Amino acid sequence: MNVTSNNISTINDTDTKKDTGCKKQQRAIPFSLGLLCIITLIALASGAVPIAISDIFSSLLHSTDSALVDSSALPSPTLHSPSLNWIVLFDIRLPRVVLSIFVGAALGVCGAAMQALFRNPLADPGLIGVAGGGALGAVMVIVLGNSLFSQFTQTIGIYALPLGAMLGCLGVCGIIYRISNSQGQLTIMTLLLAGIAVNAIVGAAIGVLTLVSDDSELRELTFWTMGNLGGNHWALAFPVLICIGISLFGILRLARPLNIYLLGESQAQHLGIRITTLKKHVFFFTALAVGAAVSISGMIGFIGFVVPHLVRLLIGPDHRFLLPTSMLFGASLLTLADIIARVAIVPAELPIGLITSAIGGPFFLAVLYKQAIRLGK
Amino acid sequence: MNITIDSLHVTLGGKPLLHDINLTIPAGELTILIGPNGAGKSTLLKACTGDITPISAAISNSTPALIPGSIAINQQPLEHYSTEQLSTLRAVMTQDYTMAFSFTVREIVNMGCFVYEQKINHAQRECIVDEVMQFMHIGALAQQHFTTLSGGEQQRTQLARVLAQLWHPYEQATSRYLLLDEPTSSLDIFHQHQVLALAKELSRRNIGVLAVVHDLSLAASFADNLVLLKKGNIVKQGKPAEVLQPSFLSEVYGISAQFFQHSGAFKPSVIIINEDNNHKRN
Repeated sequence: MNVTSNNISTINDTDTKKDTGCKKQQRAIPFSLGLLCIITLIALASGAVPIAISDIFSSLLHSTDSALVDSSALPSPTLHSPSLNWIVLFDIRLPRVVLSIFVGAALGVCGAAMQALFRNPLADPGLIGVAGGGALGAVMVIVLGNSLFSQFTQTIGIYALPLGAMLGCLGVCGIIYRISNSQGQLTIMTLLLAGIAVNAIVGAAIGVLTLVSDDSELRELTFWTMGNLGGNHWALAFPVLICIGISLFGILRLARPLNIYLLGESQAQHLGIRITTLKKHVFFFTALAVGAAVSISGMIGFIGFVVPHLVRLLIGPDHRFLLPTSMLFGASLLTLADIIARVAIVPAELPIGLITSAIGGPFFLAVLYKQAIRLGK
Repeated sequence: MNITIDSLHVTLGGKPLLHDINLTIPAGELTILIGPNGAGKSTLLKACTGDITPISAAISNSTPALIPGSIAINQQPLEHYSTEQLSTLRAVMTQDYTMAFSFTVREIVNMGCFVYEQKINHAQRECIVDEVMQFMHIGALAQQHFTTLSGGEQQRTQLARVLAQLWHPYEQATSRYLLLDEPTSSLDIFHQHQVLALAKELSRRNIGVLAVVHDLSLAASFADNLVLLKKGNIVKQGKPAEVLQPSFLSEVYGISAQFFQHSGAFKPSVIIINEDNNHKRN
């Protein structure tokens, strides 16, 4: 079954169309899951310290044994200390790869949810202020961490930057929510305009902070905004994984109501959907997931917008397939981008935000070009 | 059972849209609202769907509001029903139905079954969707994307979805209602007649149909009851022959016209008097 040749021309496949989705839709989830597994293996194997794939499996399988002293399972210089490969795999690379999977999944699925919320395929999570708020929080910690917030940074320690970003994100999202939530109705137009206005203010605030920063702070915040999945061990990653996990579970359950919501607000209400509750759930889960993602990895653009768009072009707008596929595709894409980030200019690393935009942009153009040709026929 | 409207007032920022409306929409009959633009027909329909907020909960001066308790469905005030309960009692075809996402026709009609999807199995659901698409003559369009259809085809697709909502159970003791806001606006003459004939057939299943229609002849041909509105007031309601009298039509539309039925072999229509006698053109 050559899945890659499964293209738009199968749209008129009338016989196989069922309520469970046509062939393209049914294949999408297994295909993207398989893709993710392959990319994960490659990610675990590659980097500044290459590890053979067989070693990965044996390390993972023996990780619960006293593998530290089991020299037959791993190449080990001395009998009683963990091998370099083991440390690289478990302490450095595995958390990073798991993070890239979760962050990519969060961006992909929340992008799809936002496009549903605004009933517009051009929407992305940044519209509700997640990215701007996270950036503001992070920049405040970076620039003011030694002065205004020195107590905060000292007590919290390594969690200061991610926590600051998360608080900034929740704060800004909360403000936008309050503005749009007049009399309990989350009107989409107000949400959009409030997001634009607040994002502009936040941008100005970040600008001012950038102005007053010194050279090292400036360098740090610049690289933070370009995105980086590295330097995170399990202690930092764990809260993020939990937040994202909760949100993914929450959003995937909204697939059916979101389909109906696309008919229009009053139309969905006539069919029995409580639209205000639906909108609030989407808002909350997106803020939680993308906020957690931004807090740990900085701003990684492009994936939240392009992945759902691309998936929709390939398998249609039905959220029962769109949401899981966007999730898996986003995870695959980000993990792939992180491989490139780690490998391209070894031993240095490229900021991942640059890669997702620089490679993703032309790739998306190519897909659109092929679409245009196909439709032009 | 019916929808009872009792002293309904709808205001928009202080300005009255509907004034002291008293009306009954019985199940088993087709009631048609007619009137000039701005008479309040769509507002009256929206009030019956539950879309207009009661005055106490009104958001601002820029949305319509009504006094609670004026509308009752099956002897229960509208406000007492939850969103889910209402969805089992009435289906609505709105005036605008555009969609930016490329669902297929079949997927859209399928959405109408959302209300009762827990109660039926997959085969029954497919059966309902097939039947409803046959009813609306869109079976051949099943796999086409909604965004590629013509205006009339889109309207028939949305109508099919709305009908699907009331298709199960096929007939039940509790009356249900079908509310149609200008369902024939984009349709050709064959489909205009087909849709209203359909609505009439549906009314025989203990469903009350309320429709807003602009074409007076169409309204005259199919309505069991006609309600003539002008500037938020009911001018006349009753059988088509009673309502479409020259005096009323002149008062409301400013035209010289009257109800006319040649014989039982022809559908009734509204004929307009030619006042160009003094100006010989062509």
